[in-house]
Amino acid sequence: MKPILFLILAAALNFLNAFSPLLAQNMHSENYEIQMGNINMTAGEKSSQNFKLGDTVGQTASGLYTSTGYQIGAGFWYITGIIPFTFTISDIDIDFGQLTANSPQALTNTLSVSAGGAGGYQVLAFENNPLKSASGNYISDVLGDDGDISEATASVWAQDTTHGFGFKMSGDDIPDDFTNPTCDPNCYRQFADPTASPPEEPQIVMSSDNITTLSEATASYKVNISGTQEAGHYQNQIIFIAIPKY
Amino acid sequence: MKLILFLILFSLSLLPLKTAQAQSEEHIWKRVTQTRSQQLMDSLKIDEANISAVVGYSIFTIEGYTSPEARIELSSSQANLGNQQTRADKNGFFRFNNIILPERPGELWLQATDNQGLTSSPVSIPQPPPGIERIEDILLPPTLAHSKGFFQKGSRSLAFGQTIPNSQVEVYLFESQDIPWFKKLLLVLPLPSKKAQAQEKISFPSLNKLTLKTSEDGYFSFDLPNQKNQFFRYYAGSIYQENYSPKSNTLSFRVLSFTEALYQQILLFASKITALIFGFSKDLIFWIFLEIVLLAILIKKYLAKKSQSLKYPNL
Repeated sequence: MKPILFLILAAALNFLNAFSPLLAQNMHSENYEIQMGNINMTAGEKSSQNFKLGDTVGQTASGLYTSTGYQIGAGFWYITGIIPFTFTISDIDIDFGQLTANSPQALTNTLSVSAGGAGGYQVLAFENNPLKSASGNYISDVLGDDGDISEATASVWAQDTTHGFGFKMSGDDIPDDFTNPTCDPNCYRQFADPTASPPEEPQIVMSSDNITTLSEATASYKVNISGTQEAGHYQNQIIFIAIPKY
Repeated sequence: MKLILFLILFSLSLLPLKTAQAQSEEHIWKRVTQTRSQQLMDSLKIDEANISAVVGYSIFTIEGYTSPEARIELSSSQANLGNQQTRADKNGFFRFNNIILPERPGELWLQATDNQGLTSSPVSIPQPPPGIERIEDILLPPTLAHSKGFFQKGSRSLAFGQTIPNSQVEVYLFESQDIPWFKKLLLVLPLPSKKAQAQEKISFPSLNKLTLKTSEDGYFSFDLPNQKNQFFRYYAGSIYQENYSPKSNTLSFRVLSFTEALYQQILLFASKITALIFGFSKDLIFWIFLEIVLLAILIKKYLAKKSQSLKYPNL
């Protein structure tokens, strides 16, 4: 009799163990995959006249965890973006055509970002090299009217006798130096040049710590040459990297 | 026995729990690493904009002839044509294709460097008119060099160069005579009769022309005249399909007499000595050194004479 009791007891323990790990799992079916399934008390979107709230109550170990070098946003609302992360450039072919000495030319395109991540987003930019011709001549990056423009700091470029290539930003989520009262609306920067010595790091041209359904900024590219600029067809590429933050 | 059986059954009952925990821990680890990184990679957006601009107003082609496989450089007086280079083919033909001409390029300059590294004199072309599409049949001058610029009468010095293959080369030699300083003075003084006499006595440089034919590789060479103790200047020009090229660089050489050759050798020796002493060879150093030595000798002689006159005042 007693061995039977032992067997029943062991079977009961085994049965209980089968249900013991209450941890998130990926669940699959023929047509669906549910990632990080969880059992919640309540969840959904609530709204009133002035507020809109999306909540999930009861998720295990949700919240923001930080340590040196890391930041973990655990929970559905950190990961599941209602707003998809998108980045678009309105015009990717900026052709200045024929340039005339001491006659600056400017062209623009628009950068658009939507970001649903809780941490917002960043857009970084750099050039593959300064404007370069097939025979190896350069239109150098502009130094500005006061010689203090860099890839990280905007400064004034208003004179027609200042030569080079640069850009300015206007619109949403742009760095403060583009709207500095001392140079606005002629606050220009160089693009970061990884071929420079020392190499220059990509620089932030748009950033926000908040979610955004649509942030738009206009990049205005400007070029001006001197009478001694070597003839040729000059080209380069501006690379934009849009990074969501969670 | 019962106790052993119980323990076996109990441990078996715990086994699925440990396995499930291990699986779950592994799953959580995978979820955190894989899903998070996958999420980031999917969301990172990279896009690029192409920037382009043209400096210049028209596109043209310029072509001509020089020595085979020479390197030709095209530049402009305004230094705004960029670094344009091309190489001639085996026949000496060269072409710069689709050169973007700046708004104001100034004069165009062409210069060739032949296989031996000799550089031709530059050819200058006036600023092309707007809209020009082609400039052709430019003949670049021959390159020219010689083995010795100073050599003794009767000894040999070779002049050589390179130009268009199978073309004719004309070498022009000028003997220039040394004019004594007093004759030069007479020419500038307002003394009509004496001036006329001086002009009569001064003979103008006499011209000698030498005609050569280049090889299939465009090479030519000739011996410099060595029978006359004289100073010469010379240059060369090529003729291709009855068209004359601009003249080459003008070179000079001197045929030396025995004493002049000896003097040259002494100078050479002295410069080597000064180079050995001072570490570098400069003629100026040699002359300063020589003057110091001469001054020292003169001062010594003067002092010796003075002391002698003091000793024997009646002499």
